Amino acid sequence: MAAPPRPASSDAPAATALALYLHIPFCTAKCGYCDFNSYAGLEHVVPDYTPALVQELALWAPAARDFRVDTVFFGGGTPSLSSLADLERILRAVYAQYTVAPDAEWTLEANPSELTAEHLAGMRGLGINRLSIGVQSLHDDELALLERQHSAERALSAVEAARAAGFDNLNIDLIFGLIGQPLARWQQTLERALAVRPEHLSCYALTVEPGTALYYRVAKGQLPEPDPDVVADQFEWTRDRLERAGYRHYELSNWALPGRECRHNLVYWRSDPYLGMGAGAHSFFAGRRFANVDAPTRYVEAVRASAAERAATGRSTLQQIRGGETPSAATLRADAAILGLRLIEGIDPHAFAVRFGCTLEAAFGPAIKRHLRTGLLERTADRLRLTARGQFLANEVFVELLPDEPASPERAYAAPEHET
Amino acid sequence: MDQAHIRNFSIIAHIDHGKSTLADRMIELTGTVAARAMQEQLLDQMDLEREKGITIKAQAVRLAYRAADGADYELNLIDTPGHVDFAYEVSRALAACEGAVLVVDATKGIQAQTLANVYQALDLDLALVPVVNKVDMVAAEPERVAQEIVDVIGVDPNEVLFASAKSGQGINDILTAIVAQVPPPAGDPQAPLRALVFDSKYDAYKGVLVYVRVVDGTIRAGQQLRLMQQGTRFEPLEVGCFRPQLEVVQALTAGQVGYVATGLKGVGDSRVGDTLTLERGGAPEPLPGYRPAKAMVFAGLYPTDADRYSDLRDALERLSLNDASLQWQPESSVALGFGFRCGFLGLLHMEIIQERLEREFGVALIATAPSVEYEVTRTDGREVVVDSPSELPAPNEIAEVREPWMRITVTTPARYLGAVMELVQGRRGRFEKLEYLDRGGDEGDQRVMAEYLAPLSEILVDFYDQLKSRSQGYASLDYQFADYLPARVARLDVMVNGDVVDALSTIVPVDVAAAQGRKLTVALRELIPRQLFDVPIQAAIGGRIVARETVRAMRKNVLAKCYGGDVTRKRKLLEAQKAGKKRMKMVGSVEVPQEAFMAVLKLRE
Ligand SMILES: Nc1nc2c(ncn2[C@@H]2O[C@H](COP(=O)(O)OP(=O)(O)OP(=O)(O)O)[C@@H](O)[C@H]2O)c(=O)[nH]1
Ligand code: SF4
Ligand SMILES: [Mg+2]
Repeated sequence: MAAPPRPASSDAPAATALALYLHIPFCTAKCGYCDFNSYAGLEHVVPDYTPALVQELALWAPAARDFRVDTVFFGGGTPSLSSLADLERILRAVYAQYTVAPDAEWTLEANPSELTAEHLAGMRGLGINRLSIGVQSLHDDELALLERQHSAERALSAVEAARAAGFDNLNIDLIFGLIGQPLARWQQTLERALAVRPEHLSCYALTVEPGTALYYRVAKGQLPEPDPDVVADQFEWTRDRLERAGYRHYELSNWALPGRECRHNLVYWRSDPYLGMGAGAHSFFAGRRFANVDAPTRYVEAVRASAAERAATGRSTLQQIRGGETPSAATLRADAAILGLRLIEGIDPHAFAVRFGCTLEAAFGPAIKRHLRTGLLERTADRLRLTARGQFLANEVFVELLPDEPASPERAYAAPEHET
Repeated sequence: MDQAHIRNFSIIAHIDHGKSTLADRMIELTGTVAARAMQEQLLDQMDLEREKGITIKAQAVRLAYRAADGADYELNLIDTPGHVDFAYEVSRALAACEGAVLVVDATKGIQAQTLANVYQALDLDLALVPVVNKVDMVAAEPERVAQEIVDVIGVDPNEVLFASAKSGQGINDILTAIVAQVPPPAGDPQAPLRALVFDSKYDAYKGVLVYVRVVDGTIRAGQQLRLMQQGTRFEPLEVGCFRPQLEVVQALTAGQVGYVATGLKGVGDSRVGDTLTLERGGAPEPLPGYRPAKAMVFAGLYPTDADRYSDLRDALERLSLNDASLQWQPESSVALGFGFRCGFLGLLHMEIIQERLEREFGVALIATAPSVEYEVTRTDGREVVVDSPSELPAPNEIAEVREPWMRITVTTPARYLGAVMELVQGRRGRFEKLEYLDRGGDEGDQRVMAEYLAPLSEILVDFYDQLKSRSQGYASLDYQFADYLPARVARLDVMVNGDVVDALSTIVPVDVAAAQGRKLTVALRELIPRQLFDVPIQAAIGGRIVARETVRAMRKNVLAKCYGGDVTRKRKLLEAQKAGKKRMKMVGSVEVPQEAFMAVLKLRE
């Protein structure tokens, strides 16, 4: 399959970078720990979903006219479940209506089960140049605990197949701190993952999220709560091990070979703008944070209604948006500091002051001072960052960066004005 | 309404025997409240009362009642609380009445509080209208309970009425009996005004409202009035009665119950038990008033946020208007800063006050562990009263310590006597006497009333629950202060991160002090969250360490990924964490949660 045609670039390149997040909410089964906006058993919605996503791309295109799309991220759910035909329609819509940088990063989240040679080749052919594979563990009993749909062996062969299909930028998602998991078991998982030399590794500590199957099992006492000390040991070991293996720890949970950081996720941590499309997708755009309705069927209906409205009146109220907020200056500063400190390099005080018209000291003086003393924060020549110890205690710092007045949500969201 | 057609009565009973429900039926039968506005236990108007299902405040309501002979009567009913901690409410209500409806649950019979309340009513020479309630219940034994009332209280068998406050059966008979047996108020409407202030409340618009029972004379809006003890003068904004909402009336005359809106904003200007009279032509002598309540339990109350000290003071001032039994005075703690030492009638009372301060006045509080009041004779011969552990003199300065002992009355079927005895003895108590309440059939079924003496400090925590569980729910409890008796006690200090936290100190019997220290440090280790550094927790008696535990430094507190750019949600999680921290108190550099200060209450297993 050939890459879709690129639009002939007429004018000078668009000025500002923009990230696109495209949400595919379908999964074959719901994993026990998952509280993402994902659904099993909604296959019948898929035929309506892709057109809705394409319509939503069209609805936003005018507002994004002055932006250059640098990264596109298919997240889920399980985007690797999407047919090549559906993916192609979506990619074409992006290319047709947005200015896309020639070297854009196109990431797609994939589960091992769908990664057949043919599907992989198709995706590569469409221009997907980065895969993020949800491996989670390389022990079958742990995969069972997480209620994943694949074996350790299948996960490893999926990685090999991806390599064979020409993917030279792979992320592997792993979860540590699994309930009852001794350090040695996690070490085995990570060592096996290192053996296939992914360009990028995301290692998350398991969180038992309210509302998940796992949460109920813990609440009912069927499973113990994760032991924070064991998790901390695992984190410390991971950090050492990956550094020795040549990976750069660049965000609390993310490691990459030099130059292979995930450009899309960097947009979040740097508080740069992104537009999320699809059910439940989140955006930070034109100074607002907002999100779409979660339920795929309601999302499809709402996008249709928005599109119909635009066809009739030339304007659209973007009915798929369920709500949002316009953060105050103080909240924006706090968000930027909190997200920025997730990056291991930390925050550049000078850039912060230029961007927000307010120095870090003016915004967070007492908190910074206190945590320079507690040893959770440190200054380098040109940055403020979490210390090695601070990385796993980041919330202790973050809570003190929050403004005193909690941000107030906006129920009725007014879409940014734009002509169509 | 002429005086001969007024009846003032309280409804009294052991807790849960159905006073408030009976009041509902009376309110209904007299059409005082529209049917659609009716709800269960209507007079329990506070949220806390409704949530807990108990009456906390005595509440008056005026009923218009047409008797069988066609005559119209004004009935002033006061519903009272049943729990022993609110006995002061009952005594004040009774002093405003000529009669009392005594309610006894047909499934339970006479209980400890029944008698305590009856004695109060008889002391005031009130007419008693005994009612056996809940006759609709399957387990009801109306005849047996009626006999018990006759035997124990000595009323005429024909005077015992039977009712169901649930179904409404027998209510009219009770009202008829009230009219027949409760004497009309005796005061002189022509004499100079004397009205007894039996309760009060702060109203943001009308200032202090005083609730009064007019004894002599008449009150009208626009008159110049004076509170005789306080000497406060004012012209009332309005005069009214309880229906049960405030309802303005032209006048309140001798015998009537109602309220006077004073317009006064200074809450120190009035006091419960005071006498209201006219500024000119007033009464020469005030009414006897009330004995002040004797606080039994003392604890420090501190604002979680130190900046809110003066808000807490205002709140206490206003709340004491509505709760005459609450005592307080400023104190300071090294650990907690400025706050107030408060005296309560019991632990439930303490809990209610805390809740009311937080809810009605929005002040977040830290309470320290409750303590009883000790009398201490110092080696230099001086006598001191100690109601706070930090005030206990050093061991070498103490000649003798005396602690309060209570007279405990337990009613129970005889078969549980052994279990009750065991419980009391385990709390350093001793047996005093035993009485049979009924003639019963089977011996184990026979109901008895046992009296014991025990130190208050031993029965404060978990005694009532234990009594209930060891008697399968049958035993009931009343207690009254008896005497101060010698005690061997010591102060158990707690050090958190090396510093003594005065607010965690407790006074404990010497024999169990070390064991208590070990239990307390373990409890605190669980209650104090992990901090950024190791926090040692030690217990010490007179400077000697008797126990040590460590809260290990926290190593992990980090959110997982910022999923799909949902920054708002992550921020909310952080805001929740921040709010959690705000509820804690910084003691030195350690965040200590509210519950830790009450840990000592949880130590009995
Ligand atoms: N079956 C039955 N239940 C009753 C009757 N009277 C009251 N109850 C129930 O007994 C419980 C206690 O009733 P309350 O009226 O709140 O009792 P109280 O004496 O006012 O209680 P305190 O004010 O807390 O001392 C409630 O659940 C009532 O519904 C009755 O005649 N029959
Ligand atoms: S595959 Fe991913 S999105 Fe789907 S249920 Fe599992 S964890 Fe959730
Ligand atoms: Mg009641």
